[in-house]
Amino acid sequence: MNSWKSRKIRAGLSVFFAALWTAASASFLVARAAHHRLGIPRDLHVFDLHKENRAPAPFPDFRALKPKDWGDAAEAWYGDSFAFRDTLIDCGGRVVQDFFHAPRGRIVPGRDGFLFRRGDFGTYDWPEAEDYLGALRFRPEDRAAWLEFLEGTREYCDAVGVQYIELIAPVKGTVQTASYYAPARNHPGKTLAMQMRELLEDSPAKDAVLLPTDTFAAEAARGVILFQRGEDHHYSPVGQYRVYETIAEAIRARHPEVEMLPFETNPSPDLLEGNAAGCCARGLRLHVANPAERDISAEDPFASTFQRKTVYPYRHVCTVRDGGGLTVVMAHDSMMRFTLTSWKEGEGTSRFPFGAGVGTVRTLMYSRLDPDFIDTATKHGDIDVLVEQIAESKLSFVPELSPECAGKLRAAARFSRGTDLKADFRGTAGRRVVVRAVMDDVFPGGVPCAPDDFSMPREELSLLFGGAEVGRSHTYPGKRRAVYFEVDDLPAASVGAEWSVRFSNPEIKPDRVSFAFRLCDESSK
Amino acid sequence: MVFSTIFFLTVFFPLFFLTAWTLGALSERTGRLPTNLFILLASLGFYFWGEGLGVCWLAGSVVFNFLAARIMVSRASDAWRKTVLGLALAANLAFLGVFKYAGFAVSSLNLLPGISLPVPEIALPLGISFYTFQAMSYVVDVYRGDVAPSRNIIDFGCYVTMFPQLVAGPIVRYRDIAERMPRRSVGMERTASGFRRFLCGLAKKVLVANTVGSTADAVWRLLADGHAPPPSMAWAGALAYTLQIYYDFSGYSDMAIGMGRMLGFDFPENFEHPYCSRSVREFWRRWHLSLSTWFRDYLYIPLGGNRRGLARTCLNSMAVFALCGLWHGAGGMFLCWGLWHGMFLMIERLVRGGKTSTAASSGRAADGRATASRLSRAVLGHLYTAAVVVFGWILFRSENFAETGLMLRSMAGLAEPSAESGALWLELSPLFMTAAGAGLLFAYPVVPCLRMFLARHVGGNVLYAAENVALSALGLASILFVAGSTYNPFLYFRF
Repeated sequence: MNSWKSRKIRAGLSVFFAALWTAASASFLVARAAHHRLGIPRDLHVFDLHKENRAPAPFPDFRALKPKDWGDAAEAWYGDSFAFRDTLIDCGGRVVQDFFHAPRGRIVPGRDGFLFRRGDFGTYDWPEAEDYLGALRFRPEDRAAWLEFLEGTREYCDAVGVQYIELIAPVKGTVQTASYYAPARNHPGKTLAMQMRELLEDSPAKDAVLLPTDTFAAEAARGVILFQRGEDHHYSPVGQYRVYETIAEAIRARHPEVEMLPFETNPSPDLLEGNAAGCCARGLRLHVANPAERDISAEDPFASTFQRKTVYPYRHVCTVRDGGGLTVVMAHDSMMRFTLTSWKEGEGTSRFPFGAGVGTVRTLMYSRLDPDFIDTATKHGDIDVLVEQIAESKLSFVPELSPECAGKLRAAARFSRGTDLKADFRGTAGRRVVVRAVMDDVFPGGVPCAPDDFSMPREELSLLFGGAEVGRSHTYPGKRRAVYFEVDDLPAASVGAEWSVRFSNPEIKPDRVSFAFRLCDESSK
Repeated sequence: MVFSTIFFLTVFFPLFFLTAWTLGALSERTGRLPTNLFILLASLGFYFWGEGLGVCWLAGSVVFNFLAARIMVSRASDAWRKTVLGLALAANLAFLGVFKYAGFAVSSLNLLPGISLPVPEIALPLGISFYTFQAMSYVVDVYRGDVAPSRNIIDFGCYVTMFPQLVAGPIVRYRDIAERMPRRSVGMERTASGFRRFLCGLAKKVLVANTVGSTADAVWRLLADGHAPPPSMAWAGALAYTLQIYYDFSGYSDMAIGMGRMLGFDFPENFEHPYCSRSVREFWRRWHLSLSTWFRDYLYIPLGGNRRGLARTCLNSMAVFALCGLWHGAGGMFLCWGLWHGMFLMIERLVRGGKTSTAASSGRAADGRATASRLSRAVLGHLYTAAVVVFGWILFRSENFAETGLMLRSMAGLAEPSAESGALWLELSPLFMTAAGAGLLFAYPVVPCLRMFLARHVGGNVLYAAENVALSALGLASILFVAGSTYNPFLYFRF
């Protein structure tokens, strides 16, 4: 080929290349203008993949911003609204996640379409992948706070006649572990649930805390159950059923009569229409039907009392069955709720897969159990079981309580770790004693009790007022109420002496008060 | 505004270049003043976009240095010219010193016993190191008579503020573009060449630097918290940062050079495969050339260079590299990085005995034939340089010596890996491996060698077309990655 022709061809190639990339670069603005003026769609929507489920950045209000911030605000807006955005992001996601198996932002792709989640390094917001890799560690203060919370809550519930269950709900990142890509799959570490299990080894709260992760992971590894959905963190219908089954097993430790509704893999038309009792999978949801169960009205005092606790309209579901049975109160988060009902469907109705033995179920969203909650909840009726659920990945967030609640739990926790004092004990030699006073059938009215309400044998009067801490408690009719307080250096023969509660209003008194004394010694834990 | 963002690529870039080309075509006969004015205004707008009213400092620097050069040549007296030069340089250095080094200087003084001064917190204007050095080179070149002072503040302002090289270089000398400033043509071949270079730089930055950079960042975040990574991850982090800084910087330079070409200018090359070097001296002849030559021409040589004996030469080298380190950042670790390189330059000079023979430094015998011993020397030299450079980057990246020490102990297997380092396994994806592998491969002159080889077997135009296809593929991949960086989903997917 002669050089003139070769130069012409080269020039043509240059023109084509320059024109192509100029047009490509300008096409975004052209598409936006065409969309704005002519209504032509500015995206092809070639793939219909994951949506971001958030509002786009608004067009900036330049008058309200400093000049230095104009650029960032405009780029944030444009970054959410440029032409072909959805298509480019979806194509890029296919390349990065599906081909290269690389994390994109917080999303960690796994096999078979599984998506795991990692937190922003340092903030630990839903860090299930980091948890699997053993990157999360309880600090000493975290361990102390969890022990105090769990032991104190278990003890406080026990004192008022309630079985307490804390369910550490497994997450996809520690259950569906075979779905990780290497090298993550090959480097499991000590998860927070494992650390919690070690922490509770010698704790009196051990039996109250459910840690089913290992069991679920083993079942998932055998392919027995697909516990969680691939693309988000919620349970599958079968996984959700398994979780409630775990709760029922724990309840049966005290109440053997409790059963579960059967799970039907081939549901009958009656079950699907709600005319027969049972459970089955229906799309994303665990469908539960029980003709004997009905909703409790919205005017129910329990429902109205906790209206202020969260901003979610579907925050509580209350159902009751004819024929009696246990009253179960559950506080849980969306992971446990959304397989039963969608928050996008408003209030919705839910049934729970408990069978015979459970009569009433009351639930709350995002409510953390604490002594105030327990006191208020038991005000509205006898409660047999209190279940709290927390996702495993959120164990990094230790409970935060008001000082008053924290003090109560601290006293209860100390009592649970203490050593029983016999009637013939010889004095505490400067060591602390935690006293639990349980009042049965407390009078009607709602009167707070204060340190002055507790009377001790005359010779201990000065000692009690000098060194005791008494929790404030609201009292309710016909209820069981626990109060804990500490005494420094209880002298000999005080145990089992005539300790009593006396209110300033002589018409007010509990029918029965039982006192229990335990020597509190941190080293005896 | 960063070049590798969707806003720059799809809004600023097309609007700017289409306007610039249109103005250029319209002003073919009248000269480039309208185009240069547009470039100046657009560049000031570009700077305002990121810095707001900080653009006033940039404009002030342009006016000051333009006037300084004009005043300098207004009289023939050498004393006058020297005085004006001194004042101009002092003003520029004071400007840079106050904004960039005041805090560091006061913090350093506070280390002395009995001193506790309030540390000033002054916002650092974007690109101040680059445009101040550029302006200083102009006044010195005018003083030396290497270039005539600009008669037109628009042309001069266009030179200083031109956005492609404003914030990250290369540091362009006025004499390199003075001839083309008033009149230049931008044909299709030059435009295509500029696009090719721009796409190459974009791919380097987005596909390699950003990808490996996330691994480097993860490792250093861990170090900052006092947690040791396992040895494999420590080495991966060091390698990742070594690649990140090269591809980030050279990618930006390529984009700047490409855009300069699209405007009709030929900016100097800034990187020449520096990781091929077999000595630290050779490294600095391949790395950030515009900066190293600036220090050579405006500091090293005026200090005497290598013409005043070995001891003075070594002292000059150490001084230059200390300042080079500080130029990169106002911090002790940057200073140490500079001194680290200066130290090895000094050692190499001592080993060479002060010889400057290129034959000695390249390892070739006088007869040009490589022998086995020369080959092994070359390999050893390469490994030695790699070790010095990588260790230098560890100093450069770390906030303090504690981080550096922890990193080195981790690399040597002498630090117990912390449990928190488990999260690093998420970083070793096939994407990282591909980017790191490509980064390592193309750090060597693979493409030029491949081009030479293919040119002998296929026609030049076929090769050109194939390169265009490859660059287009890289450009498309880069845009996918850039678009993907705007993706920010909320947790509750479909619920």
